Amino acid sequence: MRDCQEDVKDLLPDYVTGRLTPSDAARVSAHIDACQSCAAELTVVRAAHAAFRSPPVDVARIVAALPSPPSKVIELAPRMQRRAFRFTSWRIAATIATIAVSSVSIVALQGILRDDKPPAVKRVVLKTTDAAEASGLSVGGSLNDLSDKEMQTLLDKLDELDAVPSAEPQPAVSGMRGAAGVQ
Amino acid sequence: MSDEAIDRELIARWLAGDQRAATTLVERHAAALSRFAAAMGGVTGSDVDELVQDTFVRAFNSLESFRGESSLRTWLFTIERRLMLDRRRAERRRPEKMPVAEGDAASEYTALDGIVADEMQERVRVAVDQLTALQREVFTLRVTEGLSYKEIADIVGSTEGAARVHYHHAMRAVKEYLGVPHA
Repeated sequence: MRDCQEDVKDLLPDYVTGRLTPSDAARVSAHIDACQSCAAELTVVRAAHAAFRSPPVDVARIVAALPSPPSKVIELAPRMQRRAFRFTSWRIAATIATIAVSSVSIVALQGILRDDKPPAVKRVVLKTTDAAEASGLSVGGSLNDLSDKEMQTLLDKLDELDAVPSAEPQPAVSGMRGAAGVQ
Repeated sequence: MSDEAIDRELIARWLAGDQRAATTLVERHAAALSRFAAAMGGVTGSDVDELVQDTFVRAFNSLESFRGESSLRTWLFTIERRLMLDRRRAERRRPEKMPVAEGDAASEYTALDGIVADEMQERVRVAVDQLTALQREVFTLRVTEGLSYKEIADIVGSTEGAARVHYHHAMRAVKEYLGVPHA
């Protein structure tokens, strides 16, 4: 023990908390008996050590809030893998079924489209309304029967009517306000 | 078997799925954490309980990554200290301080525990309250827990030499407050 300023005073907390070896504790004890300064500091250390006691804590509540040991997760892992495999299998089966149904639908649709005649209008009869008749527009028979001049006249008359809605072109002049029938 | 070896064995048992090892670990360290929290001031009653619980929850959530480079107790103190600093920062950010319940940490603890502290201990508590936050941490960890300067340095993020200096400054201030001559 060289000097009480450097050594003994540094050891006092260890002395109070019982962390010293028996031989070191005996040496500190012997020094304190002979050194008033270190004895005074020991009194402070003892008081400070006793002053801060631990407020009670609920150990059971703390333990209940802790996470489960990780080994339990490992234990559950094979089960989870089996579940994941089942889920994956179900997804694969569902995907295959969807593709199969879609393929059948496409083939069937193609067949229907081949069977259907093109929606071209071979014979369109315009049944004009009274208003149209009043304006001098009256067409009977097929449009194919019209000459170029008659067709131009018809188009001119149509231009005089209200604007046709700007929709996709229809096979007939069904967009016209007059009633149109497809035969 | 040393305290650290016991802790390591308990950690290994918990990682292997033994929930009882967690209870033992909490029982071994809860009191020290609770005492440290109370000594730091600003944490009272159920807050101490909650702080200690949060410390253990955080520790157990990353116990798998605990490398044992420091002792478990040092690591727990480090976590608790960070939590306390976070709470202090959050308190400072609050626009209005919540009204403080009657009784500070010491008087509440005394009431709960049924122990009347003697005059010296009471004065030590007041003296420790006068210290800077860092001095209070170092002084408390050294005197009440008996931690080494190296362990304290690890907890407060400092060096061993700096921890020693902080301790001696704190001790000098406490003795001055108490009127104890220091040579």
